[in-house]
Amino acid sequence: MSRSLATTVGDPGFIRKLQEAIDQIHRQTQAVEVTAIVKEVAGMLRCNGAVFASFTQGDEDFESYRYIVACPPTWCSLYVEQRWFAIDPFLIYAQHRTEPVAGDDIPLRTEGQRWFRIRAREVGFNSIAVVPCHTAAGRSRMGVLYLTSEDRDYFTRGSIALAKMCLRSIAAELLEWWSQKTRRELLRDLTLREDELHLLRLAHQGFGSKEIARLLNIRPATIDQRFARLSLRLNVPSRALAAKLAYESGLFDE
Amino acid sequence: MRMPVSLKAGGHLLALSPMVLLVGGIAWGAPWFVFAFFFGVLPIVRAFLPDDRAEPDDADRITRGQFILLKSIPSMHALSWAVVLPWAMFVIAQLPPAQVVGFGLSFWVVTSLNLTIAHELLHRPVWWQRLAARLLAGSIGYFQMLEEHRFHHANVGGRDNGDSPEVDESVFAYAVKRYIRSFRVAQEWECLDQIRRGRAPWNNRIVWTALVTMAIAMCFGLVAGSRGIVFYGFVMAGTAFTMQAITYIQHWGLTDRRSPGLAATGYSWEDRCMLQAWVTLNHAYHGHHHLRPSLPYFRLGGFANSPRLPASYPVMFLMAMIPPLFRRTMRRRLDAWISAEGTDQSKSPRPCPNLGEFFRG
Repeated sequence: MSRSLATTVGDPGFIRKLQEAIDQIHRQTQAVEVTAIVKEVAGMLRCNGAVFASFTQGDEDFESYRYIVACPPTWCSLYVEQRWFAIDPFLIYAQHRTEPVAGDDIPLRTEGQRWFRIRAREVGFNSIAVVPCHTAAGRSRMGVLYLTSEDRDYFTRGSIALAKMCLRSIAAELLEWWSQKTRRELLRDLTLREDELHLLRLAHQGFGSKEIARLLNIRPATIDQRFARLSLRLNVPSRALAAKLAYESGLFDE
Repeated sequence: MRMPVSLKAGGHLLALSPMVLLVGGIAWGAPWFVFAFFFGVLPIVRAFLPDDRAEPDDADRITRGQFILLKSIPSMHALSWAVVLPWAMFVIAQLPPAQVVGFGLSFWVVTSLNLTIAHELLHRPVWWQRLAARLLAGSIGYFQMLEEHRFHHANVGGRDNGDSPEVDESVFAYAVKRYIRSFRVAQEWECLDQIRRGRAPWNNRIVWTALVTMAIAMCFGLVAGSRGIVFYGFVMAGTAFTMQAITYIQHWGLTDRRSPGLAATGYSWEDRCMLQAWVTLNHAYHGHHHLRPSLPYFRLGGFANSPRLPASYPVMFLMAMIPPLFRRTMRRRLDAWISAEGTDQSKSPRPCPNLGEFFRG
């Protein structure tokens, strides 16, 4: 059956349809709209489920975790009830590897992880493609795309290698969409203005108060005051940390 | 009437008061003073104080000076502890045997309150604050605290094998079960974290922290002999029990099985005692903390519809020692909350929350 994935992705019609679907992603504003596209893509790939998880690296509190879920609701419910996001072996794999891989090739280290895999099989996820996606150096948000199939041999090392280009492009587009969405949410929640972002950008580039004051034609004391207010709002003790936080959160991305 | 923000911010300096009172107690010849103050005086004072309004937006009105002060208090506490701990070793060596018990109880209150400081520091994003949390937790003998706490955040309120106590479970049964389990879950967490961050298996943070505990125990032994080691052992056991007992009080009976609406309250019982909020760095606004663990303590506040404890932690702690009394008092409150705010779905089909919504918090 691994041939069927190869056949699917080798079809020029599939590539065209995938391109059209991917083009739609960045035009959407709501997760539910993107979920519909992911469902469509999963159908095109003959998968019985698809999940895209996005989060910031090293987030031990799970606050940054965001999901697009296109799979049976029973699985969503179980995943939340059992708090599997904390031990999910595929999320852990993706945090330190970039290679798309079959779920069965990822070692299960704990009892909880083994139980997670058994239950996934029970709902029909017999083979899984795990596609990590990382952003540019320094940015902390990353993503993982899971595609699932009832067919035990659908996603294997060989078939994933053949479909790698398609899988990675879907994951990259979804990560880009989440990154933009979280950027907008952060700007809204923190009520940051463009001029304040500009200040943070300059601080991140290494400019001191006097240099920024010369550039913007303002007194250095005013610049210091504005940085103090910004640090307070971003909840960090210094301007350097405020600039670092803004950079890592992708706030400087256009 | 709203309390001035400056008073509210300054009040958190009381987090340092247990150590000050511990030293003061020895100076006044009353080594039991901290214990008597927290279990005797504080509950009485509580009756005469208004509830904290606990509004999270108060934090938006703080000045930069207050911000720096509030940020510094946990670190100031950790530094003070680095002085008080060796001092306590020498006190133990010199105290008459009759007074050691009183001092031990006071010291237990201080180490128990240190848990709240370590807790605050472990959630901070700066590496040295997390290191301070680790040293603090290690110094009071709860060396698996940081890893266990991550598990706790993920699993509290869970339907099966969650970290919330069952309604028919006594504090003693829960404490034993949870303390034993804490080693296993902490080790599992550390194992997964080693993979996440690409650390070698020998680089085990729980072991490093346990070395701190062992070093402190040795120091107690060197300074105060066998009496010091026994003393430290008792304090360790007491602190570990407090950790479980406070978790019991904070999350008693609040699971997904009881009501899916509990997720919105962080599966936590809340209390608004102002003095307690100051001393414990808003630890009793626990629901807000569970929903937004990265928020610093001074940005935490209460929820209008949260389940509320009938009294502050010291009283609840004593009440928990009498399981039938605790269960009867809390059961009424739990049932009232469920009928007013949540639907008891224990017999209904499992809920199907939207993952996206769940994680949005």
